[in-house]
Amino acid sequence: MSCRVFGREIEFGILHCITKIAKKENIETIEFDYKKTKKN
Amino acid sequence: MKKYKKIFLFSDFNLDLFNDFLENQLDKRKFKIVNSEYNQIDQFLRKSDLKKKEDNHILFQWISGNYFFKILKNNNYNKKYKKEFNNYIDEFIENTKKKSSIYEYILMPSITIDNNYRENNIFDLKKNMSEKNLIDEINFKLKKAFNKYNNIFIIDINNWIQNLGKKSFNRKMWYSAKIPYSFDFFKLAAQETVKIIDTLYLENKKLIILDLDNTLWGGILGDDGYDGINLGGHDPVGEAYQDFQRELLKLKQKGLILAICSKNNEKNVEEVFKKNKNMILRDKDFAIKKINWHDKAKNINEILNELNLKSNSAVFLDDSKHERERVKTVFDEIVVPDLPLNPMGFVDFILQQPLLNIKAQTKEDETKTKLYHDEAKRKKLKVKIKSNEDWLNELKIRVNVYLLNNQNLERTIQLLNKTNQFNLRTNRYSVGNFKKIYTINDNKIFIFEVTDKFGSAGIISIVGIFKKKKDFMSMIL
Repeated sequence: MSCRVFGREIEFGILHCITKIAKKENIETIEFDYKKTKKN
Repeated sequence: MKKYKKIFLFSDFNLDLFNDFLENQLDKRKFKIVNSEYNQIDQFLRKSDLKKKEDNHILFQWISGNYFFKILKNNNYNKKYKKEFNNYIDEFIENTKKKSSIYEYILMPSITIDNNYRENNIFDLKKNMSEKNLIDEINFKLKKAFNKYNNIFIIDINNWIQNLGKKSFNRKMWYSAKIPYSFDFFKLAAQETVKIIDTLYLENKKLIILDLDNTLWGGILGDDGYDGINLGGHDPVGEAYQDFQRELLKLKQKGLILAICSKNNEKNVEEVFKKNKNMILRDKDFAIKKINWHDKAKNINEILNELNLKSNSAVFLDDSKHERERVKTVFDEIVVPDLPLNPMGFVDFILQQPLLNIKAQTKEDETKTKLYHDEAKRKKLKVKIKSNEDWLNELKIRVNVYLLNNQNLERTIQLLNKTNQFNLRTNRYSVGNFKKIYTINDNKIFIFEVTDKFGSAGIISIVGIFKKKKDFMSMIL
């Protein structure tokens, strides 16, 4: 996510959109595929 | 683990001399050259089983006009060969496009007319099938075909040829070793290529902080007044300052942010922007202005804080040696170059800064200054409202979602390649390999744009969704 919108709780809005998409597609489980790197 | 970048040289002529010059000028700790034997280019281009490797960094593909002309049997420039000629160019284009997903960058000098055909023939531009017209046609086709590929760059080498004139070529070396260009030409080509490679791998700067008096115009505003400063008109120095402003405006349009840090009276500067018709840069072109009598280092610190940028992303331009030294002592990471003493050298100086070259330009980059102006308004409102919750409500934020398409592809890749925080994998992509990985099966890429009462913040987030099973999906953010 771009740092220009940090601190405006946008991440909640994005997750809300994702869950709505998942519901529409009858998805029950969402997995966050996190790979730890030196930068994140 | 190897840390150097590999540069692969491919050509239809002998590149040994260029290889030697390039090797001498590149930082050996950072780059390694792999030179293939000349005339292997056809086999290489047609090879379809090449796979992406982590160390496939730069493909430097230098093709001569002869490579395309060989299709015109025995230099028979007859119209009946035109179709065959065009097909040959198209095949070259398609093969190069395929390579764009294998290499991080492809650099390709423009195709030039060979020394053998350099005649001052009055029919050169008249006959459709003249060598000159065919070369122009090839270059036009290449430019058009690769325009949207942000990792393929055509380098205009006519500038190099103009620099050395007839001395660019050496017929003796061509006959004896299949080297078409001269010793001096390859030396210049290597120097310019090093600058281009630096542009690709150096962290580009984001902000130019500018002084005003004797930097953006000639003279002292406080003494000379808005109509007495030296800018434009029929004065050679005035014209040089005006051209310098034009170059800065171009950089702003490419996405660099401009800021002012000047010891002046703010009202006098406002008067220049309003009343001096020779000003190229306008008040709105600057994201932030610090015009006062404070220490410049203090002002620069405020500029960086307000723009939320680190000092290593800024360049400071000031004619005063004293001010430059002061800024250098406080910020060791800000680039503070010595401006030429004569303003007539300012344009060349700015054009030769690889740090100010921009690799790819997106719609967001063009409107970056407006984004900063909008951000300043948000901050102003926050100070007024105080409560964070009330501020967020007052902003009236909307999050819009789109699917990935060709219009937002460039910004999507830029964002994935630039961001680290909230980036679940930090993989970096070129247009080619991104398309290959993420446009298959049921994978979906969603693009998020944020707007509020002050304007759009543009594309700010990307989410990739991979449907693993019928009721299960995996995502990257």
